[in-house]
Amino acid sequence: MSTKERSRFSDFRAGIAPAMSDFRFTLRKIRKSPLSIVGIIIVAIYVGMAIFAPWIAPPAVGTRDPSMIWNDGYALPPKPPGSPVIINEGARNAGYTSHIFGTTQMQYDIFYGCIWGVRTAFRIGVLVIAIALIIGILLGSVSGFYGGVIDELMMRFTDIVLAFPGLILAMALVIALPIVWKIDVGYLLVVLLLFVGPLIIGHFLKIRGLWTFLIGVAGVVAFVALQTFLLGTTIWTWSLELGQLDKVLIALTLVGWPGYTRVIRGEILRIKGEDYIEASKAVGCSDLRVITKHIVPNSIYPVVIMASLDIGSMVLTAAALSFLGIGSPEGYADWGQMISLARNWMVLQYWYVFIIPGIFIFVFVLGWNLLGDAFRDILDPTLRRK
Amino acid sequence: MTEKILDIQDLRLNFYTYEGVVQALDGVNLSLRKGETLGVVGETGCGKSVTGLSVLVLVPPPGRIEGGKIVICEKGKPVDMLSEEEDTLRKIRGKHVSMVFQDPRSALNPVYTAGDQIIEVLLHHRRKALALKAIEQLDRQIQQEKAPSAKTQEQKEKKEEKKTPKENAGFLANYYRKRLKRYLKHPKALDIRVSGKIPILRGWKWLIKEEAKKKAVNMLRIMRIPDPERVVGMYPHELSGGMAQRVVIAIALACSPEILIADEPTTNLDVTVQLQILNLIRELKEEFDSSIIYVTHDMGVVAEMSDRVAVMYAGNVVELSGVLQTFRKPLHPYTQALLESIPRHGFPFKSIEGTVPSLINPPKGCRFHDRCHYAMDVCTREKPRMVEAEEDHFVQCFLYQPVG
Amino acid sequence: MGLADFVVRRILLMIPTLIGVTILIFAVTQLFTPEQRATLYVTNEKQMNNIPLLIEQYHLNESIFVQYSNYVQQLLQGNLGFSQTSRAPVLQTILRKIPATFEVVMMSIPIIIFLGIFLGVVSAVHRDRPIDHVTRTAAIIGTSLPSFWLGIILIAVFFSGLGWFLPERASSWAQNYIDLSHNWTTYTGLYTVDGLLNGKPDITLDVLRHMVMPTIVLVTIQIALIIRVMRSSMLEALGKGYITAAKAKGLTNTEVINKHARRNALIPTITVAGLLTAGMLTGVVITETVFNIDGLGRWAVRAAGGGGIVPDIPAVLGFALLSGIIYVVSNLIVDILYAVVDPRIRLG
Repeated sequence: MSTKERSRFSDFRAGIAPAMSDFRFTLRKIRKSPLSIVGIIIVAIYVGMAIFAPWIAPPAVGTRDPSMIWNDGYALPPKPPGSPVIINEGARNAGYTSHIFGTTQMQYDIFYGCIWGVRTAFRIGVLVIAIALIIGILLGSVSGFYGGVIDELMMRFTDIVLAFPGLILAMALVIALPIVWKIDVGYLLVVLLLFVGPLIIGHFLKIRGLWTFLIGVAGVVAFVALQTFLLGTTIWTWSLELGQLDKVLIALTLVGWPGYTRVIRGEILRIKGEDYIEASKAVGCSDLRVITKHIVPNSIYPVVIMASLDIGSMVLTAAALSFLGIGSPEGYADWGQMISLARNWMVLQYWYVFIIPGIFIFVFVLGWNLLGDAFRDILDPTLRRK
Repeated sequence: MTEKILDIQDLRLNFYTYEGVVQALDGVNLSLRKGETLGVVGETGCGKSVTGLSVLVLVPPPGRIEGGKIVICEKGKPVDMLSEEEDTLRKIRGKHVSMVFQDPRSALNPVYTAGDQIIEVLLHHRRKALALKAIEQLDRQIQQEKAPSAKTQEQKEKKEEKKTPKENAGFLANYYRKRLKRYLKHPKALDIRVSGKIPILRGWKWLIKEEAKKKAVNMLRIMRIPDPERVVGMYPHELSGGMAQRVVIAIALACSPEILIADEPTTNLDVTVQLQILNLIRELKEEFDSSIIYVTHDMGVVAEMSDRVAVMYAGNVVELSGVLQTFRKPLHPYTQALLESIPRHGFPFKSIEGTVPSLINPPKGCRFHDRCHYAMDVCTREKPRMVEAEEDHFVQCFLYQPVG
Repeated sequence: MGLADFVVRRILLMIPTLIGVTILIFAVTQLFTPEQRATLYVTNEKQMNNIPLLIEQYHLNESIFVQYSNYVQQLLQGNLGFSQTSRAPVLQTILRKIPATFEVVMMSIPIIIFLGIFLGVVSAVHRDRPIDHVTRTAAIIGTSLPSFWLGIILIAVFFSGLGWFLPERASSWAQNYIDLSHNWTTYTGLYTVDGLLNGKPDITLDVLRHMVMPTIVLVTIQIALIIRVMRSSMLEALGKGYITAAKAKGLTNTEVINKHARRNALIPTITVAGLLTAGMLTGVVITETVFNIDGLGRWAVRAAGGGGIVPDIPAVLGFALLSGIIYVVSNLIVDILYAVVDPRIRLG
């Protein structure tokens, strides 16, 4: 290496040295806490199970939807682990000779259900939390950033939604959502634009504060009005047929977003009061830049911690809904659903019907809770230097 | 020569932190004489606050006292705080040795009123005295009833039929009086404990608390707080900085301790309030006949308040002498440099070159040698002992010691 | 500002939120067809057959503002609709089923709160020592357990395995006595209390025995939260200056912990405890279903179609509305308690 290259490299190393030592400190903290390692391992194992499901538990030949558990006849009583696969040709062709974990009522194979249930769990947990997180952060950021009336209204709204216990609101929504639902994606887009648009417009026109928001809103409204006149309807109309599980997902998302909104808004209000925000505005940064460069990186931690802990509780809530019969349809590879089939068999003789799926739920949630706890301990700056 | 009431010998203290072992105190030697104010002065980080906390053996973890003796004179007997049981220490804390803290707002518990917190220390240490007072008060009440003035006698005769509340009070007063007397003799007796829990019967306890409350109000009055009856019921967040600090001082002096440790009590206050508090402390010292260890970083305050001065640097006491001597003829190079660096009108600004050393890896030998103009070879190798260079003027420096 | 002013202000602030709750429920009703919405205004079985009339009567085809004002009117009159599941007006059903739910909840909450606070304090005081690790691990396990799973396991072990009692509210002999005997008067609807009032303590004991398992389930799941909050707020309090100041007064460690640290640490815990109490409704839904207790939760679940039948809309919405109101009122109580315990809040 020439001297010039070497010095640039050592400059680079020197530049990232504080970050590296911080990172090393973080890794050390993780290593010191055995529970966080257990959490990471658990989640990793589940991820593996989800990815390799088709190989671990191959779908019976001839099934359309691998998330529906195949059943071996329709006899009522569950069969213990090890019972041979009798009737189902497709299953035997796929390589099953026996029911490894036994069967539930109506002869659903427990092994298959549990393995494919991992995918369901991830789908529910990650999808719902991700969408709720995005909605929550968007709304919370705008609310916190612009303050004033917008903030007041948003807070009232979240207060009201949060006034309902999650499970119960989800129950109400699940029965309310119709099977076939026409979602005007156009409306969603407009709403999204209403929040992001003002920021972008403000960035380019170099205006700040409430005026940005108002001008932005005006701009978007003009855009929509133009569309309506020229095309006759709003942008796209799209109808979705909602399966039972989709209704659950939507219901849980609608229940989940206010939590994040409040936290992000709280963080933003706190950060807004900090001096470096004043400084960056004084230097002339547009709203967009202030948000992306200063506010978001500093406010994101509590929400990340919340989200990782919520994945676990979301899966628990979904399992509860399925158990109560309001979630996934019968025969779906969903742990809660499988346990609901155990309602008539709550005796020790048929332990496998509820113990095994339950263990899957328990360990999954435990893994995410440990992970979330680990995040919290690590990312909390006040606890760092002990 | 007045006797010493506090003698710190060779105190060593370490903090065990993530970054390493901080050798905070490296053999501190101090003594406090009866009736005097000892100013302990030094830069931030020199260990002066921690020394104060050590006297009460209240250094929080990860700090740990590793050696030395802290001898106080309690009722004529020497007591080494560092070798006593926690129970004994608790009897000393707040009663014989007490502390005034730097930040009054954090030293007061936000959910209790000012009065409650003063009453707390009174009840903890002075129950018997308060009980006696309560008895006296009851005696006075009963006397009033037995030998009323002529007027009340008339009134009594007029209302002969009605059972006045005073009669009932008389019965209760006698009962309480008996309870209190019993409490004095046998504070842990079963009947005392039982009657202390039953609603009306435990009124005697309440009387003790009333006495404590009166004393608390009085303490606030002594602290020159206007309208003490109102302040007694106020919460810390309702008080101004100066008032809060007066409350803290009131708590510290409530049981008339012999030794008062003041840990930078005015640092967090406005300058105008500072002066008031300093004057207050000076007056109170007379009234309460306490000896004070005054920890500060402000040389001006030291000059105002102290009779003797201990200068600390990096965990050692480097110079210990009367205040006049210290200021007029500083012997230790650090003290000299410190005094020179006080800004003075007309003179160029002088500072001490170098920085305070890290105490995780303190320099070998004398801890000041790398900043000292007079450093000699021996200073880098050995640590100097404290010697009496002049009469009642102690220094820890090889300049005043025969080498070897 | 004083406590009284604070309370009044807080109560006034509660009203818009309550209105908002009704609006939200109303918004959910808009997701239904007018025919389904009509069921909300039904008061008895006969009216169920006359839906078109109801649609006319309550203007269910008109603008949302008209509908909303109608809806609120009906609410204020106590008409929450007719529940197919229970074959009775919703409001009446709620009132009838509350005692059963109340009984189970009331047994669990004191345990959760007091045991939780105690364990939280112990955990904080003995930080990083074995007892702390054990408590925290147990707490994390508690939050990871699905409540219905725990319930089923307990039933499987204790009922089928050990031959104890059936999962239900009371043994059949007790239930029969309550339902059929002429000597029984229902005072409160709480079997435990009524048992004593009727001079039948054996019924009280029987019901208490049956409540042990549901209580275990509820406590195990919920206590973790209290422990966690109490622990962290205790740790924060113990690091404050007034702790050293208190020790400098000569107080014993126990006194310092209990009088000074704990009092301050309780403040955030009260909020959590309040939310938890209201959130118990969630836990209760599952517990009642698993343990076959005839309370609000089980009724709501059946109504939501937990058996593949047509959902009983007024019931579910009525239950949701009730939950909302309970939540809002709990928040109010928590805020007031907060002001009582923390004098700094009263300045408003």
